[in-house]
Amino acid sequence: MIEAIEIDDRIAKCERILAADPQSQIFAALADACRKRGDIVRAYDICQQGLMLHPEYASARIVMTKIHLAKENYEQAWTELQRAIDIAGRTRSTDLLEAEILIRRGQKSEAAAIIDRLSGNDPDDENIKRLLELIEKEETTTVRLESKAQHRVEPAVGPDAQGHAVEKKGISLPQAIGLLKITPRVLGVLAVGNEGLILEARIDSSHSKEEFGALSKSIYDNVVQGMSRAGLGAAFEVLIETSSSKIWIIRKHKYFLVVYSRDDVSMGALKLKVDELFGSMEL
Amino acid sequence: MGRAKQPKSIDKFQNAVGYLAEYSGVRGVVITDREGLVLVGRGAESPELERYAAYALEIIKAVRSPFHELLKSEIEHLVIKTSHDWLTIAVSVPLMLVVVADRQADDLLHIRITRSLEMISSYVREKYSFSSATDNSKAKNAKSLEAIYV
Repeated sequence: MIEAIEIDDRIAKCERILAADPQSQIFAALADACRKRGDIVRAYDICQQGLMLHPEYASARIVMTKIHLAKENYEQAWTELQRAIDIAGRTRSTDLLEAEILIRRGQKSEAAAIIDRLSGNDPDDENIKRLLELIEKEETTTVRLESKAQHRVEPAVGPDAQGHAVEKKGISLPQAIGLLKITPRVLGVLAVGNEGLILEARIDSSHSKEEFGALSKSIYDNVVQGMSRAGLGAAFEVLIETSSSKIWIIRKHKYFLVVYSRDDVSMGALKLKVDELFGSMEL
Repeated sequence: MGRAKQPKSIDKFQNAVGYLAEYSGVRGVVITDREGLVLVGRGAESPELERYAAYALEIIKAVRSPFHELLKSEIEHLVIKTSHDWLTIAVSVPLMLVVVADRQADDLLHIRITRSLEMISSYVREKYSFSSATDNSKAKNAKSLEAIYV
């Protein structure tokens, strides 16, 4: 609880500094605090924008590595980490992160070599102990991880990592919506309850999310009425395309998923991602 | 005395419709005018095709208002999937293409629909210059279409 308050304070301070100076490198600290708070999507957005201004800021690359680890994007985590090493050289922290990524990717022997070397300097290091536990746990969870697991994993190098490593956890609706929203060309994702009320939303639109949800529900209801009169059964999926955008409404058991995108979004990739994130999710 | 234009254009539309109707899982294909009147159709009995056309128009009209309020743009494609059916309504002013297929039809049907629409648009554009049409000329062209098909 105290730690959460401290993180909130840190976020507020960083936000104030960044608001006063948008060029500030404080974005990395803000992104890291958001990550620790569990707001991975915001952390990613902040860090990505900051890195566009400060591509050579190694600490921000390290934060981005941790964000990718939390998102289970191990290849991207690896790429970011190597960029950080290229910019600022190796440190104990980069070695620990490297070991963790290797473990996640199933390259346990390479990871063990790094851990072995690091433990020679400081065998009681808590991070080393966590990585060793992680290797042991990975032995029994490899299959689950290969299926691009639906659970969140915190990097083992931070103090917030304990207890989270390789813990199988069902992804929550806000997390799934956040992850879908960062798909290229996706402008908004909403979960709308059967009554037309927003359950969760992330959207870039001139409309409020409430308006967007209600109008999407109205579109769906009108389709259902028309289909019913045509004797064609109840719609469970409606896709509307215009010259510049698409709206895809998917009927789930207890809610509607509305995906708003640019017209040039890859529907194939989007469908796969929706299946992956929302396939078995109900409220 | 020149040959009537109607059969030639209708043939071209029938090519587009036939290209879709032959695809596995497609139950009916219709090209209608903006009033829902069937110009050509294939794959089902005529009353069934007329029913598809009428309901497609009704659905488009019902969805248009909230959709326009939401995105301020015109619907080009409306795809509806149920547990058994896959209905596509594609608007290619001044016409509408309606495809009714089995839900389990291959996803590549979407490509055929796009291709058929291109064929239809190209015929319409070639003949009636709809690509640069203003509302006024659209009305004029619609009138000439009406004269040809009705």
